[in-house]
Amino acid sequence: MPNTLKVTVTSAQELIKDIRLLATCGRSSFRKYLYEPLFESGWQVEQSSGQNRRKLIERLKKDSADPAFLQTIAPRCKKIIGISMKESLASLGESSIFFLERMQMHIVVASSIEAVEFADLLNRHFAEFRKDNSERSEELFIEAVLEADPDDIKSAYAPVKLGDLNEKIKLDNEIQRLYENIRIASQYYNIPKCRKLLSSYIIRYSDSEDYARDDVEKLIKALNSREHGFEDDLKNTIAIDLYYRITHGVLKGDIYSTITSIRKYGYIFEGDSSAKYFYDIDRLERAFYKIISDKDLWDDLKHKRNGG
Amino acid sequence: MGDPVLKITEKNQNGVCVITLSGDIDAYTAPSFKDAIDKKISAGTFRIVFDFSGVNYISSAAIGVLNAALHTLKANGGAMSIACVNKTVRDTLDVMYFTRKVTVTNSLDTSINEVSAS
Repeated sequence: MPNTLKVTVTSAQELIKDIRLLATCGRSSFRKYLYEPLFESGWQVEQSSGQNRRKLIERLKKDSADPAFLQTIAPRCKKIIGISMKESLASLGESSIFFLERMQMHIVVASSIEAVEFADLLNRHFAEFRKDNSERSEELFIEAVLEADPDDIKSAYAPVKLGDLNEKIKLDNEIQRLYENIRIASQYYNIPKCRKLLSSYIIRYSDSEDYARDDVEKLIKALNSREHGFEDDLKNTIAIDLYYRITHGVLKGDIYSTITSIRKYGYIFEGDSSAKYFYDIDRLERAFYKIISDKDLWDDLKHKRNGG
Repeated sequence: MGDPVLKITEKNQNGVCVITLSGDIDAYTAPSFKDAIDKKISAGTFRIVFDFSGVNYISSAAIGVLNAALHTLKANGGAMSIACVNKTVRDTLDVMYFTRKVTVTNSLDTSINEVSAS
């Protein structure tokens, strides 16, 4: 019977986001939520002679270009993860992310028994971490804003200024380069790369004053007609990326990154309540505005925004 | 926390649709705000003034809704203006750069005249 299950692009991206956040939270969380579940499920393997993890990864990367080897990627990724568990937690994190990235590139990998088992295992154990993290975020965010230097908060609202002609030209060049890169990626049917390029561009420029919105929308439509579900996956990619930046910013006390990402999220999703993390981010934003009002920082923010 | 409430009423004045809002416009109420605007735009209304005299709070989700509407209105030769905002809402619109894109006035009549003449 064929395996009809598969790890979706969104699920793989969320797991990568969680692994990165786990790394920020420290070794004990990493052990508890990633290492131990895999160990208890028998994923750890002894390293045989000549089975250096890095070499195995390099070899696998080369083989990935050959369709004849696609079926071998998932079992080899499982082996790499097993070996990395003996090496270090950092190796385990890298290998896990490597496997999850391959799942996004090749449907054969995403549909493999190993991928489904891996994602299912992680999802079950990450559920508790996600819940804790979401609850802690608001509290940590308030703490971070209260302790932040007002100048940090102000700089978070400094816009991308396009009054200068050079900036305008730079942005025009950027969209041209994006078109060219996406054209090349789509010629090779490299949808994951198209998604990544577009996601980076949208996150970077969506709140600027001369965002090439119509051009971006045309590109998305074209790619969506070529790959059904592209637009939804792109939206999820952006939401996951911004939520990661926000949460990572909260955990690191990086107020600039947190606030900037909240603002970008607002502009990109335009009140679309179906967007991932819509309500989580709204909660943080309300807390932030309350503190700005309490600290009477609105005028400072505006002056900074206007270049004062 | 009770159910979020955003009261939305509409009227026409000098060929302009005036949408009056009362309450908070956040993630919970932004979808109904978006529906109200989309309905007007679908019906061919491209000149809209928002009366914010009863709005206490606005989030980036709501500003995102306004930004999307502004884009559609402009693409159809229309216009938008926001009237009678309180200080907190004005401050939020400012730091979200939205006041660079749309006129915000202190009087409903001024907004209506501006949109009507555009």
